[in-house]
Amino acid sequence: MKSRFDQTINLCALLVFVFLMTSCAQPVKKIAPKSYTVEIKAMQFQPAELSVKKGDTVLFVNHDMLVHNVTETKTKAWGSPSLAPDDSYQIVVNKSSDYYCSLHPVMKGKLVAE
Amino acid sequence: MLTMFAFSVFSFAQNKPKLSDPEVAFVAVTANQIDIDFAAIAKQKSKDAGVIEFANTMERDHKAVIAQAAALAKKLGVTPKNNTVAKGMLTDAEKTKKSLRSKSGAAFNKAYIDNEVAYHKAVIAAVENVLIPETDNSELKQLLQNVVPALKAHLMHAEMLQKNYK
Repeated sequence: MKSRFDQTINLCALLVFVFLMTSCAQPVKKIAPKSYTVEIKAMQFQPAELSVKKGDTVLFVNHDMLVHNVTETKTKAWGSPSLAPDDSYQIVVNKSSDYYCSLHPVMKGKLVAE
Repeated sequence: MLTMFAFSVFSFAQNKPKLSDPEVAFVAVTANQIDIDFAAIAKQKSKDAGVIEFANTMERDHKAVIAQAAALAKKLGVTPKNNTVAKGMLTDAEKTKKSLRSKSGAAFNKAYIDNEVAYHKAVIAAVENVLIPETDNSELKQLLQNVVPALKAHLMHAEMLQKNYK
């Protein structure tokens, strides 16, 4: 038969254990999506290859002297309208894709979603 | 006939004539206008989607360069000045246009794309070896330097298409 003192000690120990468990268990932090920029300059996408996390945002900014666009290569799944100098176009990256400028097909780029 | 034009522009690049900035500006505008004229013929004569798309790009890009050159000339208070180099280029361009107009169908597509390859090679050489070194004004020089990557991309595009029109 445990004494009242022993019962109190056990209760305190239990409370300390529960406190420690709850205070140590951190909620899972969600990483906020990041934003990246790809510049269109001197007839190139810079950087030509960019690795991002799924859900990150990529902003394409036309800093060239000519009109360009950004078009997904394989099935044209996504694409910008014509971008005049200083125009921009933003996408949320959900999967890896190759892209190009359909007006100047030698301009190519790649997004890698990790 | 088509290689005649390229030869003439190459010889101009090799001879390195002395040009003033207003003359450089005139040559630059003339070179762009000539390719716009070639594109107009292509759009009129070709039914090939690849050729028409390429011609549309040449027309849009070279018009944009002329607009920027005109805006810069206005800003600098420079009036582009006609000269023997530009006159020679226009004479050769007329011969090339006549030759292009005499062709049709697959022969035209091949002739147009072959000429675009030769023409862009010649113009790149002229801009890099004559126009940029001859230009005194830093803003005009910068504009010419900015145009070179576009000319090289046009050349690569034309060479890419050339494989389809043998």
